[in-house]
Amino acid sequence: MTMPATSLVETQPGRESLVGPDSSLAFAVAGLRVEMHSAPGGPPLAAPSTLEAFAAGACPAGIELSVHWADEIPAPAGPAVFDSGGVWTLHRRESGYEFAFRSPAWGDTPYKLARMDENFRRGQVWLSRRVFGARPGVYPLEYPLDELLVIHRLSRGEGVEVHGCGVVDARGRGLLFTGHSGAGKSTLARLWAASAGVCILSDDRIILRRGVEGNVSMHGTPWHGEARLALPLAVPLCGVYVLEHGRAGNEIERLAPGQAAAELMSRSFLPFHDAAGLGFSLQFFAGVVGEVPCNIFRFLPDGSAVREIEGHV
Amino acid sequence: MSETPERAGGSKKPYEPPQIIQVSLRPEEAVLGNCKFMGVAGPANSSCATIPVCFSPGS
Repeated sequence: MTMPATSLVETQPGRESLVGPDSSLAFAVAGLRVEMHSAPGGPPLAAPSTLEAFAAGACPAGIELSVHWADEIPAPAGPAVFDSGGVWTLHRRESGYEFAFRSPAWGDTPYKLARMDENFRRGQVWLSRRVFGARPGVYPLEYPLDELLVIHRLSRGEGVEVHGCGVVDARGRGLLFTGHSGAGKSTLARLWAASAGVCILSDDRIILRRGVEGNVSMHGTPWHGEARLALPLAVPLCGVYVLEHGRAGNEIERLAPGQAAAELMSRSFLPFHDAAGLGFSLQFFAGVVGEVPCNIFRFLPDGSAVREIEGHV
Repeated sequence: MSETPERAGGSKKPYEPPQIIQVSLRPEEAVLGNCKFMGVAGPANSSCATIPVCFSPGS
């Protein structure tokens, strides 16, 4: 693969093994180090292959966790502040939060519990020995806990995770193509990937943060889509495109800032229970749409879509 | 202080009336409530119901 010449930053320099000899596991996403240690007598840790390229290197600690076995995980004592309608609920504690994970396969008893402090910097994860005990190694943050921790941590003034495909074109320009499932993110990623000198940071999840110089940077994540494209790289964001299916051809329509912010928010992963976190996210997107051109991109699923963007940027 | 500040060129920023726009939201996607596996999201995905964890970090 040929890397674009300019602006591309490796966010996790210094590759290393994810699982350490001291029963620890660390990786980094968007410059945020996520580190966990198995408690004495705790679960053996393992990392999914999708994380291999995201070794933490020298990244400063962002989220630190201890991991424990539990024979029986008690139901959270605090009030529920959010119910995902799926596997997880969020509960308030006196000084933090608890994520409880349940499955119909295991009844009402949570199979996993993550207790976090107020700012999602430190916490503990309890895994049901009954559910996970037979595995030779356990990744405690299996989807969606890893993303949940990161998006909550980011909401403390650090950034936002967007449902999108991030492309670094051959001239090093960072282009974000955002869309719901089925909008064509992975299709477009594959089309871009066929071009020389292009990098795909992810075909499904992109994190936006302010760089050290204050500009908006686009970061790859290990959470890829159907095209399975993911890179631990970052680049300044140069353009945003909201994906729609084209009918007769490719079409680009500039968005007014207000609508662009709304479209981005509806395609992002936000802490909907948390007014302060939502407020930060709204302010963050207000900055993004004020600095970066945002467009609707109605496209055909062939190479003409790539050429259309190359001629537009 | 003026309540309608003028821009550097002396021209006022044109008034833009507030508008209500509708954007699409996919709640089940936005809250990471369900895994997506083999192109199927949500409770219809049998792997979510029978396996307590989702192995797909999909879209």
